[in-house]
Amino acid sequence: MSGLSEEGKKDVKKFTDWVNANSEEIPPEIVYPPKHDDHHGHGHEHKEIVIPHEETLREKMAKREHIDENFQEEWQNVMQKANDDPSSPERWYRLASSIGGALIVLVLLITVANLPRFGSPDAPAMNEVARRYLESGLQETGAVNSVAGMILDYRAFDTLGESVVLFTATVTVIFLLQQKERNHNKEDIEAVDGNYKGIRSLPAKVIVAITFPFIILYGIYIVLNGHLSPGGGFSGGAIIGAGLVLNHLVFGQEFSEKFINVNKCKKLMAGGLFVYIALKTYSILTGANGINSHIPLGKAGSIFSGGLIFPLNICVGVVVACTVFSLYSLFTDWSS
Amino acid sequence: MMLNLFHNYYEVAAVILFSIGLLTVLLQRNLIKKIIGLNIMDTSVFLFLAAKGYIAGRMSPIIKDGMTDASKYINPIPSGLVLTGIVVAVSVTAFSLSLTLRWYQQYKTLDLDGVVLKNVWRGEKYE
Amino acid sequence: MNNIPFISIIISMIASIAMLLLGKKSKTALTLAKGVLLVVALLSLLLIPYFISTGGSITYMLGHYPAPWGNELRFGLLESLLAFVFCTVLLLAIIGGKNDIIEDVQSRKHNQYFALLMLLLLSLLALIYTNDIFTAYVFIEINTLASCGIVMVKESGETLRATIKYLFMSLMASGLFLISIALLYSVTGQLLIPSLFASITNLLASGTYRWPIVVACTLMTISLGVKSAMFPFHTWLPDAHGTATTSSSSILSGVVVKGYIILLIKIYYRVFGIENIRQMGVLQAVFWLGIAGMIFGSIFAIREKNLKRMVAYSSVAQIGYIYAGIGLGTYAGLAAALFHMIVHAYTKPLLFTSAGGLIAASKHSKLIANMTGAGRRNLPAGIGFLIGTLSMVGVPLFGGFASKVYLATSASETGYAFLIALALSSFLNAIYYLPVLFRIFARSDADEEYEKEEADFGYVMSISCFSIINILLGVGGIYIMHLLNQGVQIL
Repeated sequence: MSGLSEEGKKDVKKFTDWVNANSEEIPPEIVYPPKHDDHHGHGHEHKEIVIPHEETLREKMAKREHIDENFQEEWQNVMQKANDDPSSPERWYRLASSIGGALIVLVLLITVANLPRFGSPDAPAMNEVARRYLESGLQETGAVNSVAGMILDYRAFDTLGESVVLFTATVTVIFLLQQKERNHNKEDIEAVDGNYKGIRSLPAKVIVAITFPFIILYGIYIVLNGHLSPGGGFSGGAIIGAGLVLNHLVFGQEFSEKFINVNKCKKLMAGGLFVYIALKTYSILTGANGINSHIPLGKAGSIFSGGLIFPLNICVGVVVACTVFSLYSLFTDWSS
Repeated sequence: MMLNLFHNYYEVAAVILFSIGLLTVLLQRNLIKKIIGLNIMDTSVFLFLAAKGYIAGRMSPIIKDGMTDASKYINPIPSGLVLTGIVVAVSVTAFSLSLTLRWYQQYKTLDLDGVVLKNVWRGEKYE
Repeated sequence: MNNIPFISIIISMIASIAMLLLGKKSKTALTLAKGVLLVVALLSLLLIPYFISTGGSITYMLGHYPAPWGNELRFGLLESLLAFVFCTVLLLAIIGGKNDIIEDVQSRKHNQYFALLMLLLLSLLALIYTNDIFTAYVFIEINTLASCGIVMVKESGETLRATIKYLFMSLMASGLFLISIALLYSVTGQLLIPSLFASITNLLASGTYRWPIVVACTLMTISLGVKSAMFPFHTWLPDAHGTATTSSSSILSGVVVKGYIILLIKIYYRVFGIENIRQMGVLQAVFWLGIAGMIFGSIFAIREKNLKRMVAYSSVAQIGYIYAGIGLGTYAGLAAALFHMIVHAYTKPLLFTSAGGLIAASKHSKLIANMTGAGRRNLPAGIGFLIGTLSMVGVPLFGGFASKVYLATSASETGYAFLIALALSSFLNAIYYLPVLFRIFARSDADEEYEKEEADFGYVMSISCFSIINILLGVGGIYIMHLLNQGVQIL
């Protein structure tokens, strides 16, 4: 509101009056369930209360949305007028942002022109740090994949922080979107109408039923081979999470929650992070205090090599898969 | 100097995308579009970093046949940084989407300022 | 001794994970949070005498690989002092805001709130201790998410709006920070702070890649300026600090904003070098923005009718003081700015906590006009507000006076602009704080309408601790200044 000029405020006032004049068209709220004395004591009262209640809610929403469309339109008009108004602060804000954006483009383009050339082998970035990761990485960390060696061994603290970022995001999303802890017995799930039932298409179901195990297997393969080939905990975890999401999409909530649900995800994630922290604390404390760590690096190139990188990748994979699935399932639960 | 701009075309694209993202966040009123703008911004930085790690004609940094010669591989550090950045971007997007969902549920609008009138409409007072 | 910072970070990490699993046991979560904060505060306190006696700093290798290959923590007197200050502020803010937490946050979500607080604690500790610029980026993101999280816990419309605004501004700032890291990395190839410093000094001396370095420095200043509410980028602050629950407001204004300022100080002194920053002209810009913040923050606060928003706008002015002190570019100015930061870290939570009490004592109305006699109805809150106000205005014997004196003496050599702004800002502070003070202690005709609430022990303790620390800082500030002067030399 503060971003409007005097003219704009007048428009808004006019619009507000319009809304007030029209708001009487909204029907008074209908109180449900209606009191029918006949239905009491028949044993069906649960369903008979739920269904009409749902319907009227939807009706009400439909009416409201109709008015909302008008509202949106009117609001657009008002804002458009405010923007066209030459003295509006809103307009100044937009002008200033556009100039700022253009300025940033210009400054950054000049910067890019001054940067070392793309793809040149003697760029300053390829210095002794990167060289050591490549040249001694295999010997020191036992990981064939230099990136995995770098993020899970040399710069492991960053990656620990990264997993904590995921954890933080999950905590905030759970805070915002988790409704009351649901009871997971069968009757309750059936009773809730908003439960997602999956899609009806048979071909999709058949295809997903066939591919689902392979998707999960592929994810696990990528997690386990993180120190040998491209990938690792993050990518593999994302694949597993996507597989679980696909399963939920096609077969519905009830089936999907037989494998995994948000609460299980929460626990698995906490467990994964906890193991991660424990392993990393061991290696950091020994490293910082000059004690040799007694973790065998294994034979380079075999699956059980790379010291801590192998278990750490598994922990990261669990955390990422659980995060992906729990975010998805919190969002769908909320929307339904 | 201008010649360098043509050589650094990846970075030029990244920088332009960055500004597009920034302006989307600043100028759009719709929250979802703002979130898309943020993602464009983050992704452009990843493009920038990935371009900075690339060295013409070299292999990805996965040691092949025990050949530990640094002049055969590209720089592994930017790849690691991009990995971290992607995870951060995902978390941040999830949080902002959930906030948007709550906002929409409460006010049935995706516009942060539109709600002022909405409240007037519902007869509530907006402080 | 070496392991203390790392162990503090790990303890808070484990505590936050444990809290998420606690379920509905909110009492346990509260006790756990208090316990962790106390332990971390005591551990940091242990470090202070150690560094006073030995001087210097410790570089702590995270893992088996030395710099520049591995991550590092680096800490000295300054860092351990700040960690102690932050932990105590968090602890007292939680104790003082407990009633409001119970009122504003759904009871089944209490444990998640405390988990977010622990995440905030660990990110702040990591920001203080880290010696690597990319680690700083990761923990900045944790800090952003967690601080937006503690704003939104009230789940009302206005908090959601404030959170969304805060989140979008912070995320744009994060984007700028990430691209400036990318710029610095592409010209130096380093991420570790000492190696970056060596490399940047060489590059600037030889004149190659000067422009990218200047751009990176400017973007980092803007980005951390947005996150710490430097003057033209402060627009999110009154919304976020003014609408959150009491303890969140205290924590955000007392601690979170300061974490970013400390990171900026580290970047100035240890990544770019203060002389280089002065040559680039960034330092002067920071100084003048600080001055502008001192004056405009106060002017905005005068117009405000909502008590919490008024206190929040006063934060903008106080952050202006800190930036102006940093902008002087001298060690004396920096030490004075840090002292002001510590005083503000104890004063602003005091004001917010007592404002929470005053609001509760006037039927939960935040408008100043409805608060007649609130300080008499809730005496601890009234006295807390009195002490906080006197300190903010700069009455002798209180912390605010001492910090203003140190800022003035450190600035006396560099011209009158700072002194004039300081005097003007103090005058403006008095204009908006004193009427509130008179109003809350005025006799109101309607006193009988309000039921008198028993103030609980935790609230009184929190208010009195904040007040005592404030007066101690006012009386014995010279000792802290001594420590800070010693600390900034080895920054």
